[in-house]
Amino acid sequence: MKAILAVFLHWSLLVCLAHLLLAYGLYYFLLAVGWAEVRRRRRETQAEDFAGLSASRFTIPVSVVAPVYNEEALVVSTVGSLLAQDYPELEVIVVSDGSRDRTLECLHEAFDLEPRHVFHRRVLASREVRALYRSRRDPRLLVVDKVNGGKADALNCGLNLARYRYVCCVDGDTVFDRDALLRGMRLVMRDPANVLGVTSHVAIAARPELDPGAPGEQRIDTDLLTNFQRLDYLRAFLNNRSAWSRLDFMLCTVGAFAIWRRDVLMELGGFAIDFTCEDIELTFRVHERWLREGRRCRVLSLPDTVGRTEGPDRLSRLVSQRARWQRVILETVWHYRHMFLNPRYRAVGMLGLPYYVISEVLAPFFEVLSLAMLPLAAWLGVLSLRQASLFLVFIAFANGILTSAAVMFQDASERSYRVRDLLRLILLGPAELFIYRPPLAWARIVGTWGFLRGDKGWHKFERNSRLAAAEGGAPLLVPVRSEALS
Amino acid sequence: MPGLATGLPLAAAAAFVVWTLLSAYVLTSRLLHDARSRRIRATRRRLERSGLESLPPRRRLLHASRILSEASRRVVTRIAADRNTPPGLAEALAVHALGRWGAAPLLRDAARHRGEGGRWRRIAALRLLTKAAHPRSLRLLQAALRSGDATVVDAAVGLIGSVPDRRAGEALLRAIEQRLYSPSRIATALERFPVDIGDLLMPRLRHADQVVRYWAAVLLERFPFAPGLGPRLASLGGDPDASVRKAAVDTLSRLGAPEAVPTALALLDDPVLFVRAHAARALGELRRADLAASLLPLLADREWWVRLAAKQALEAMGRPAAAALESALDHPDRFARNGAAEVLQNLGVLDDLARGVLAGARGTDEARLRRAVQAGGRPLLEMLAARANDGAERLDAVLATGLLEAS
Repeated sequence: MKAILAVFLHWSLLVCLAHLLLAYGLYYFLLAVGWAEVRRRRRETQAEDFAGLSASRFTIPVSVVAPVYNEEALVVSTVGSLLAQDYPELEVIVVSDGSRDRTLECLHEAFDLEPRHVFHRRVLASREVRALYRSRRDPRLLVVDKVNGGKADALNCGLNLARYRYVCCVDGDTVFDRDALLRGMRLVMRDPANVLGVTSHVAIAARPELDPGAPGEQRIDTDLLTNFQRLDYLRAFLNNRSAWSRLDFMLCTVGAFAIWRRDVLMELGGFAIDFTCEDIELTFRVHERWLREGRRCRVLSLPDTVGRTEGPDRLSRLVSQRARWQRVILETVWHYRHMFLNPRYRAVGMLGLPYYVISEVLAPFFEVLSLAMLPLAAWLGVLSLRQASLFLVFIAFANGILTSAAVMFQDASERSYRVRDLLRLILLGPAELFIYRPPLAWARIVGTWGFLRGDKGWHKFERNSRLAAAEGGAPLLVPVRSEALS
Repeated sequence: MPGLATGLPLAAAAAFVVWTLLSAYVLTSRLLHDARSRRIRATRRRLERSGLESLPPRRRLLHASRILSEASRRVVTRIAADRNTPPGLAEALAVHALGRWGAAPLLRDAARHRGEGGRWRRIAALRLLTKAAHPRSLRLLQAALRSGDATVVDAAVGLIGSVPDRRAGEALLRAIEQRLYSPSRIATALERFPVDIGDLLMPRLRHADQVVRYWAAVLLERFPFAPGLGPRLASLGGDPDASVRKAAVDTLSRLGAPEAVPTALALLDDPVLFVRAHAARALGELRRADLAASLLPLLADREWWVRLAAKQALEAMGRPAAAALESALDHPDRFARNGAAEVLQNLGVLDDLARGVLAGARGTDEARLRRAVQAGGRPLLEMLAARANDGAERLDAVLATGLLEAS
């Protein structure tokens, strides 16, 4: 029996090793491509005439749509940061999706809203609108109170009210830098005929509404979980999505910040309400339709940090969030499986879908299997204890290299953090394998099980705990970016 | 697993070494960068405190050279190339750099490029040469415009736009004609062009290419005193290209030219929707409430965007447009009735009427409000009542519209 188990373990470990080598081979390939892209975009940013663009009447106007649900803790900061954008012409449409907390009251107090009737077309189906409000303080702000229908439904409602040719879809828990819109739209304005969508890096913070500090002096959270998430986001955006963008298979414009050409969204019928999350599915759909019809389409990801979003500060909340992400990835990959290795879909089909299958669909199983089998293999003598330990060390530092590279990309572009915080982030890289990756792998298994069961729930996590300002908590500030000499 | 016996220790060791080296590089390069930045900031502070910007150019250059004599080439070129450096200071720095290290390497770098690194050296060289007003800078910038490299072209457009020379303006206009880059980005540079190029734009109003005619019409807004501008733009109201017609009416209204009104009125019937919409907005821009009646038919336009533009224009005309709007409350088209009611709401007219009626006023005010509410429907009634801090049921009862019952 032991012998049979040993043989099984031997071959299983080999399969896991093969997957590991394939996955890390992909990650390192993307790292190399991503580095070239990050360098190029960094230099473009240094050369860009942002002051000219922010004052020009030829800068394309944008409608910002922000769906919110029970965001009383952050909505004022989020909306304030949107209205403070250094951008010549924009409107902000906040869609409260049946919020049951003080979201609307907070907006009323902060922006002096008055009820207004606005006749608009319902091109995209959405749940009933109960009331509309304009701000007396800033007429660019429109607030919608509607019956709960989910984030996609709220976005579609906002799209019906949007007046401009480009729409920037954001999350209600993200606070933006003043030049966020300008950074995203500059890519659009270089090639408006072909660039259909743009996204950019959004950093993780336990309290995104707090002023991050001046460039070079920005402090990172002391919380370990937040920092691991920060590193996760850095790798995802700077290593991977920059490479996807360069290779023309950018397959995930994040819900926190995604600029789309409005006619593209209207042609596709808006955001799909029957997927767990709306962002990744829409990106797949854009590529699928445009490539199938032979139309040129570019969806780009910038390495620039345009704002901060709240990351869960408890493990249970993180697991819930990541399980949801895993579900939507599986839903989307399954739905668009006809693109897999299909040359008609070019880089999306030949590189993007295989990447997702290897690194997102299969990876959780191999990770959990490897972590479970290693001690068993050591016990049965298939691997010596020394070999098992070395294996873990190899993975830990292989991952650490990816993390250090992401930190390097970010620092070379923005020079945001203090040197001691850079050191802390770098040292956390190898430690991730033992602290952060196991619960993530578990979350992805839970998400996979949820997908197989057909679970579509959002399972929104509660906002991180905050002291009220009156009780001595930190003030709510809208951060201002200032360019650092590099 | 025999293969792992030698492979694993090597792999683990290699991963550890690479991680260590990479991490050390990240920290070291950051420390070096911080040291460099401190030197640059210190030099910059000395320059700014010395009041260089206020000195005449010759004295500025002499003074800057004294301060910069010990600064490294990197510091000088970085400050010169920085967009945030005041123009006079940047010029002095660039001239100092050329004088001290020679123009030859910069001229070589600016002429052509190969690869990523070469691209950025070319842009940096072009920037320095332009700031120093080198005699060959404009020709090199024109060559960069034709390079076909979008990043280099973008930088060249911005730099040419800062050169106070008519030939630079001509170069940018030719770039639009030859489609060397996105016309709107070129227009952004021309928007702030420091020299009057109205006479370069006027002939282009008759160019064979509609894109050129369009941008000429748009950019001439900056040069309102160009001879014969008004009539020439008005004649473009009959241009075969819809974008050109749109640009013509937009610019005429922004200029407040006498030809604006007749041109806009004529284009309210244009077959292309965005021309009608811009014609409507042009009348709104002119704030001619006496022309409100001419916009009313557009409240019933078949296109949503035209109806929206008409509403925005009527709202821009302000309360004097209210009388015309009230005449549309009985329009046979539902969109026209809705639109008129909405604009009256936004002008505050309905709020005033509602306050009066709820306080007991009757007669004409009550009748006017009833018509508006019937045109706007239940949502309008509810919002009106909410703003009056009263119940929708009471307002509905007073006006006897029956809207709440019908729903």
